[in-house]
Amino acid sequence: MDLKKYIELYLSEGREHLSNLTKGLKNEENLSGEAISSLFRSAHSLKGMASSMGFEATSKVAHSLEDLLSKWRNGERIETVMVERALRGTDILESLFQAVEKRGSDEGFEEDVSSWLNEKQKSNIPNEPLAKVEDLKREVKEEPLKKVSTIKVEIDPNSSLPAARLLIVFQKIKSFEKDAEIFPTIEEIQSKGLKSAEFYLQENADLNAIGKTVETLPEVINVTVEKKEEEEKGIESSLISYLKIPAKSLDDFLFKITHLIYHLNNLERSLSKEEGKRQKFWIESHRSFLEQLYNGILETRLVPFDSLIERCERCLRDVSNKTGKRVKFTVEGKGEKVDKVLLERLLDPLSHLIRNGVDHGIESKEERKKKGKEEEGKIVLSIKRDGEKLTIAFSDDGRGLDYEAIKANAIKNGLITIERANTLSEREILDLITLPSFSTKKEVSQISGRGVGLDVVKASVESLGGTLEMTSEKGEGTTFYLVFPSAVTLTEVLVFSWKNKTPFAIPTSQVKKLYPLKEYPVEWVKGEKKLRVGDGFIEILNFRLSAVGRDGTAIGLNFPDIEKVFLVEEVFKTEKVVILPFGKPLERVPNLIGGALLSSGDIVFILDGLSFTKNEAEAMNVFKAQ
Amino acid sequence: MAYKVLIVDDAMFMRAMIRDILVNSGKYEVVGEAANGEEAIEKYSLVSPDIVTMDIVMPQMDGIEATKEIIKLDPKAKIIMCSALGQEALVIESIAAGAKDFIVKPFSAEKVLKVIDAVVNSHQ
Repeated sequence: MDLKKYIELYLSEGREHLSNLTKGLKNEENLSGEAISSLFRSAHSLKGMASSMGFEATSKVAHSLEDLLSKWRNGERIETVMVERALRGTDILESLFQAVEKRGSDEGFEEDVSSWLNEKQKSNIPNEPLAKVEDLKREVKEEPLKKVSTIKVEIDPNSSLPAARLLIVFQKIKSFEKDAEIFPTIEEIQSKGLKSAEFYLQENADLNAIGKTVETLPEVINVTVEKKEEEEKGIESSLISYLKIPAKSLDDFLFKITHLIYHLNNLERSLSKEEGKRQKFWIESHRSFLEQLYNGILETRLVPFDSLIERCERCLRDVSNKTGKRVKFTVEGKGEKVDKVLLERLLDPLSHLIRNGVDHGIESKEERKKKGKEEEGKIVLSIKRDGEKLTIAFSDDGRGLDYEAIKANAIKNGLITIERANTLSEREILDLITLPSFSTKKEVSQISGRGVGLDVVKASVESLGGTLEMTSEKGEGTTFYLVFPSAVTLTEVLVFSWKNKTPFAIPTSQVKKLYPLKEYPVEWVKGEKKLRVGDGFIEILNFRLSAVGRDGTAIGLNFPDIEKVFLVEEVFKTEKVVILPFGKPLERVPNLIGGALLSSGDIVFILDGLSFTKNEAEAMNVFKAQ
Repeated sequence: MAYKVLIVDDAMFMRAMIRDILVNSGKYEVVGEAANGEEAIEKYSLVSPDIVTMDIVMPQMDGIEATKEIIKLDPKAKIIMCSALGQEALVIESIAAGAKDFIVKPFSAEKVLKVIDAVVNSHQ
């Protein structure tokens, strides 16, 4: 570029800035806010112009002045000795300008410039401020448990602003894959002066297309693309952590937010009706933000289920090899996201189930052939989220459970009497094998096809606030259900009570309709109480019927294929609450999803309508205790 | 057909340099110039350029503010920041605010054109 033609322009505009600086510095008493900013801009412009012309000495002096003015702008004390030094700097600049005017260059003043610059060394040389952009902090996430595909990008070492350049590369990559992540963070890249970074994408990203596009970006000199690596490396070594937060911190935040919601509800209640109407907008939006905050924090803890799967597969391979049985492992719903803490604690119970399933559940190749089954056994792990519950189903197509044998064993061990044994429901029989006293390895592996550990599985699941259920067909296979409440959102519940006034609640998603008994009477039909609705009847679940009078209400349940109601005395209201699963020291109670704190300050138990329609008899027992 | 450019910089000197680089390439036409952020926003609405070169440190309203405002007016605006050395944090802020790319003083015609060409041709 031919710079000579700019010299006149440089000189005239440059001198204007220099004059501004000199006048401003001479007027020390009036150095304040806007005045300093104006001087800063002048020094800044001078620096830019000089470096564009290749006048290094001028640029260095201007830069030093700019730094000083920047410090003053940030509130540092303006010391007279520094003002004097700055003025000497402007003198040097004047000499440099004259040199340019005469000779077209600012060379020849190296000594003066160096010694002036060195005076400055007494104070700290300011570091470049780090970018304070909140947006960029979003890159800092919990470590992805899953190894992903990587694009490594190197920037030209001559680039003046490599961090900014890498940010542009990052924006570009995000335009292809919005969930892409960068490592390390832009802040770190900037502070350490790094010239390269890695970008993580989902394994099915079009790496070649993205790589080729990135290659064409300015200042990019090298792009390497790596697809997802082999599992043998193990999950631990492939993790690169961004930020490690103890899960407990998040729990703490969540707890505090729950309290905020509680307080908000109270605030709302304490307002008069008119005031309440006026403030409704603010209260609602306040509540909405709290919910979002709550969910946002929970989401940071959610990880895809499939991170567990690699461990499961390894466990399975292990057992398969040891027992010599071939097993096909399928997973359904691996995209579902699960709370990290829950996920990690699921590994143990699932490993148990896998080992037992293969060792005891799945028959040997010969046995399977004889039965007409495929030689390869099948194990299916599925995860489904349904409203307030997360259900993990683990099933095998093996021997199944022998109910008779289980009963016999229980009788033998004195766990139940013979009469009782005959009245056991399927559920209760299965419950037997999860008793610690039942699971003695020798007997059980011969008889029931299950070994040690079911009591441990049950205990693990319950300690996480879940329940363990199972079904089985002799000769066909067994399925275990691990059901967890998802204490993940504000759930709207309907609060009601029976005659003794203790409040209970049920998620409104489980309620189809309310039938006030005054309009929908209860009638006897063939020895059973039913609810008359128009021309037809609806079955009434048989519990707590005595605790309901004529002014009560029937609550219709909202489940497919279930047309039932249950009766309650009083229905209060609906409220959005955070459902907390029971933990220690409370025992896990069947048919209840968890507890919640109402705005009234009452603690309510949240019923799970589905399980107590299926277990009416048990429900009776639960409520007797109330 | 030449692309239209709005040049924003408080130094007439810098504007002249950039203008020359663009015009000499034959691909760009300078349709407006502004000396501070406020003028930049006004001119943007008037001339509807394809690209804006935006200085960062300017009186009245700085380049980052002006970038944010212009993007509010026109989310598809293509703004390239012109920065002096020692301003990486500000450049990063600008990109986060929506600028598409940046060039660093002192300018080399080659680098400047490479960056501007890339932005003009991208369809983000």
